[in-house]
Amino acid sequence: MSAARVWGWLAVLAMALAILFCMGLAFGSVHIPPATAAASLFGHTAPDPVWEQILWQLRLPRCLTAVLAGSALALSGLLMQTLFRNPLAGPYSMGISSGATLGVALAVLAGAGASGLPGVQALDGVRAQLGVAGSAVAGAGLVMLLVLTVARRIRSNTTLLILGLMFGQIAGSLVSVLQAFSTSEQIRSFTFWTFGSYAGVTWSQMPVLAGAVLAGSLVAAACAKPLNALLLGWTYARSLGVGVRSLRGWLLLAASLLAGAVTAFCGPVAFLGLAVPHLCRGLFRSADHRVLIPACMLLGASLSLAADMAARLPGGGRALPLNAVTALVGAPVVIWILVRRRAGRDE
Amino acid sequence: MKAQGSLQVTAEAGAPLRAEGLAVGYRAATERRVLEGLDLELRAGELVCLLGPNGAGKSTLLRTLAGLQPPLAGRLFLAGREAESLSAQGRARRSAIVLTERIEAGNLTVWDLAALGRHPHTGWSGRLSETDRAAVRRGLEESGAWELRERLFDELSDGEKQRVMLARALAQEPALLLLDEPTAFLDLPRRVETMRTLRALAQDRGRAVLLSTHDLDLALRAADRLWLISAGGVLRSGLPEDLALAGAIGSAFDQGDVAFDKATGQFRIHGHPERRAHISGDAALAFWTARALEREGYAAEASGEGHDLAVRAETTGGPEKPRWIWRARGAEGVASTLEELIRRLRGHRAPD
Repeated sequence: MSAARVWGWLAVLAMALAILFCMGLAFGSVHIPPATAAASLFGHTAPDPVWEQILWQLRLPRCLTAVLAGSALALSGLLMQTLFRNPLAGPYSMGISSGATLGVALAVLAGAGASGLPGVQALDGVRAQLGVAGSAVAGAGLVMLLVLTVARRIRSNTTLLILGLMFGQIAGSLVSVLQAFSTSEQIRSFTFWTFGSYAGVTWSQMPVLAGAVLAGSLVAAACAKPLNALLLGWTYARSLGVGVRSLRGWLLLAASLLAGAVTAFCGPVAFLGLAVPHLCRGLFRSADHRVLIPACMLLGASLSLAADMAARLPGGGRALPLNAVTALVGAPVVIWILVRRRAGRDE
Repeated sequence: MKAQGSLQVTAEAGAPLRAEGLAVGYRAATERRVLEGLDLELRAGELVCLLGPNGAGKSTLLRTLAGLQPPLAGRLFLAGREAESLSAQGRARRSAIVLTERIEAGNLTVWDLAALGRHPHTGWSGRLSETDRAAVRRGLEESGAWELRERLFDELSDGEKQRVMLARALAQEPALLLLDEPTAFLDLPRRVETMRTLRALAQDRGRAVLLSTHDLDLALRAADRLWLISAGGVLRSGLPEDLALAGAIGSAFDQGDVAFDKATGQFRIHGHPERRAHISGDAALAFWTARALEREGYAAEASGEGHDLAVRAETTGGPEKPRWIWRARGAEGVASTLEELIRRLRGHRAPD
């Protein structure tokens, strides 16, 4: 694909994101015209003060969270797919989100009678947020490190995927054990949190989430060139002068930071991270990370906004679990990959 | 031209590859030295084939020379600079390797893949300059992959993939090109073509090329020098013909019923012949007659006395009407095909 077409498609994705963002602001139990919503962002006060309140206190943080989470998960998935050289790698499919969940559960319980989970009751105080986000990132990183260690001995993609699922199961059962020692209120909050939601992130939490996503993206962008070399495998990458040890470390850090932070604030969100990189590769017909990194972030953000709106479709203050929506889109992508690979190579 | 410039620098700086007392192997719980005490030199413009039986350490040596695993002892110089003092990038600018491992490249086109060879030359973003593009193009042309440039790598045949991987290595513009069994998986015409390409790269472009291969016949004909590893872990370097005449090839490969025949430059695979045959006549006929008789347990000899069998191959009736006049102990006759000759010989031998 020529450079001009790449830029063209990126522009299209950016436009789609802007449109979806305005729709996200307008869409909800109280309808606010998209134009008014967009104007309000640029300082034109909306005619109704209630609208103003809804926009600034509810919808804008929610849409921003959707954008941050979607782009972070998609980017994390892209990094993991190249790092593991496995098309089925992703934050959710490889148990990384479960590791983050375990981190969150530990943090909440260790905070004894913690004020609750992010998605439900606002965690205030920067230290508390950093604690939850930090332990989520640590949990994600730990599981990823485990999978990475095992992956060096295992060639089969599918086996690796099952291993990831098993690590996720272990983390999940540890969470269940923790729940046995929790109050029913905590369990209820926790269960809602695991459905995934963008609604719980407040303005005071936004800087932590945004900071983590920004840091992860910057590391990823700086690794774009060696990531391309890694497409040939670790041995060739090394023969091309890539410092594989440090690259592995940076990728691990970036992917855990992105997936862990999002999980801490939004719950484990399924399939976005796995599916978006494949959609981008298909759309751009490219494997170049300098193209795929911005493409995944834009498309991930857009799909994330769309999924959030779909989850709110029932209306009347009711919402579907976000995971139900993302799985409906994401799972078929996984099936498609599996079928295509099986067809190409008869075993 | 940049390529020429970089080669001049190489020529000033010393041989593309030199090793002193090099030991290669693995460092696990205990150190396992596969080869040691190696003093090697590869000069610019030289094609060297690394030969040896399986497990002799060919891949280990190549991987060590490429910096993919550390040497266990000794010193290694790339274009005059000690390898250890070079950065990973600096090393990748001096030497490139093509491995046997197969890669899956997803959506990479041939051009994209070859362009990855510019990795050690480009800045942090990997953006290709005009010079980089020219180097990629040259690599694709020299390896014969230019026509494939817009295809997806994953859709190519084995031979085509091999050419693209070579193009990627050439795009690195290395003074030293290492290849691990580049002719494996290829059919005969492709093997010959690969060798010819590599020869041209060495001769015309002044690169030093080192490749490991099991293709002894091709190596004997195409290599400027052989590095011959015998099962005992001794590496001998020399002109192919010198090594053949000195019996070094035989001592490296001979095993059981397989033996290198100095006279023909080929391996005898039929064990220890019990009978001797004297074959004379038309050269081509005699060659194939000898092949057929070797399978029957005869050692074909061009001269000498006291044979068990004498065969004279003639084309007096025209080139498409050959005949074989044969005389064994107590029997003789004329055959019009080799099949008939063999059948008669078997029939004659059957009673005893």
